[in-house]
Amino acid sequence: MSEPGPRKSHLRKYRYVAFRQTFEQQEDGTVLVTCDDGRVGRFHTDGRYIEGELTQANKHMLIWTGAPPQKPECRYRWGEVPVDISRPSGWPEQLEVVLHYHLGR
Amino acid sequence: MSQSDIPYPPHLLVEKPPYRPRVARVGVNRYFELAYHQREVERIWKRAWQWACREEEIPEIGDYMVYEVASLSFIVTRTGVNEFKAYWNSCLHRGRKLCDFAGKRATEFRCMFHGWAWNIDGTLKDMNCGWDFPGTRDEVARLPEARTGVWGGFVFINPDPACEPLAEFLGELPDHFEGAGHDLGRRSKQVHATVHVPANWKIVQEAFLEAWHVSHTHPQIVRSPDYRSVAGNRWDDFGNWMRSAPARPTDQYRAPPGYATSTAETPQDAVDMYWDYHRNEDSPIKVGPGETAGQVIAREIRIAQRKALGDAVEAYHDVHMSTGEMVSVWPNFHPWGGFSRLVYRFRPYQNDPERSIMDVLLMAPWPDDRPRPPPAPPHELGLEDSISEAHELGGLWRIFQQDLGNVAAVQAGLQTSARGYVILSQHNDAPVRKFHDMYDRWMGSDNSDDFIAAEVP
Ligand code: FES
Ligand SMILES: [Fe+2]
Repeated sequence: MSEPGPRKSHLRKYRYVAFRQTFEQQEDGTVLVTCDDGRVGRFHTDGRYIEGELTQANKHMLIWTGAPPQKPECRYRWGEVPVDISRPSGWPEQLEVVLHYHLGR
Repeated sequence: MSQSDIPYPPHLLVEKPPYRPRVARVGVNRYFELAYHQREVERIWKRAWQWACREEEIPEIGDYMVYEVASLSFIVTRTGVNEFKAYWNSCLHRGRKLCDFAGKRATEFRCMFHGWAWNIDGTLKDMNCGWDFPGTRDEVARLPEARTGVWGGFVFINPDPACEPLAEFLGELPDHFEGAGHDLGRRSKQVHATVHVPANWKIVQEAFLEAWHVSHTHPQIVRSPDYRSVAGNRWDDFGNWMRSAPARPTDQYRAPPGYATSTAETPQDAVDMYWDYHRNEDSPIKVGPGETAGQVIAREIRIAQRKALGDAVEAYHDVHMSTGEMVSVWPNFHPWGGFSRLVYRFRPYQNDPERSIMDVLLMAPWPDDRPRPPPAPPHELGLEDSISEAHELGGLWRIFQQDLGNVAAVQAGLQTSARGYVILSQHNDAPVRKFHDMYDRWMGSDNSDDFIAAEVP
């Protein structure tokens, strides 16, 4: 998998088509939800409403949007965890460094 | 070999009758009452085949692991090149655990209380102060054993001496793994997370048994329109295990109402969702003119698998790339097929019916001619830890965060249930229904419907 391209922002932004809503991670850790019809609401990532005309939103999209940051080296799908078959650990060097503690090596 | 020369994998075409389609009701008590837990120990954990460790975790004779489930503990050791034995982890004198944790190249299992010892083949080695125990030597001459069996590099144990052999229990399962080019015995255990969860093991397992919840709990990975793999369209019942296979080439895409909500508007959206590129960043993977998301995903994953398997990856059909079978083996083992790499296991924790342990493995394909890396030791995450610490899971921990958020709330919700039962659907909940039918049979209770009929006016 190649690296992601240049970012417009480090904050996550997803569109939830089924509900016609856009979820945007905010600097303060909350999530802003905007409906296609213009209604807006702000929420904690655990689903609690903070402010705005929109008072309810899918909790799991809030979790997904507002989750703690993921280590950039670890943004792989589970079906394609990077390997390096030439290294004794089996991990690419960069990941071996990042995961050292977790892998107990 | 070009893709068009590769036949569709036959194991994915095998069709079994749908599992007894009907709506079922299941009482909630089994999720929190100690009496159920205790009966599970007697009826399930002392009788069922269960995955205990990997072969490569105990590569040398005398290496051993301690496998624990509920209040039970077993020593699993290698006693020969291809021979494994398992012992109840309890001294025959006054019952101290013989092994507190795993170890290497043992020549004996010596109790740390008064020093009795057994050889690794289970025979008595040293009955310290034996003169003081007249007439008892015979009954301590051998450590009580559990049966062992190996499939796909997984060492299984069964505490029931009268159990059927593992191979018989698993039935057709090998056709779907080694028979389909996915021998888990040759994979490398690259990731192992051991997650402590504040919920009954059945609740946690049920969150991973069916695929229906994906549309509401993981809306970010539902990537229709053009992507056809709607897991959960088919549930095939193989007796002691069940699977959901990807849609066949001849299947019409037919998401039932309410099944697959989509967060993808275009094939590019579907691809971005697959790799979790969000809309504030540019995805490096582009869908070309006339390409479907499914084609792009298969192509990119083939590139990733090539790094391990080289040209051998060309022998695999596209369907192996992105979608595997979801396989659930009674009572708690879930090796997924294809290149999905996932293996789950769910166990009760000690004698607390409201706690459990979920193991997650990622089994990396590995070339036959290269030595395998040492297996990843379990990364233990306690109740206070966040799954977000398991960076090695890649994108998976954010998905588990959604699932695990549900299970603790299910545990709480079931205990305040006014009705006292849950309702399981005929199709989407089929694997959960089957689990409870098996459960009732093993527990020696009536089937779920009768069970409830007696309690609900
Ligand atoms: S309890 Fe093991 S030797 Fe006494
Ligand atoms: Fe899930």
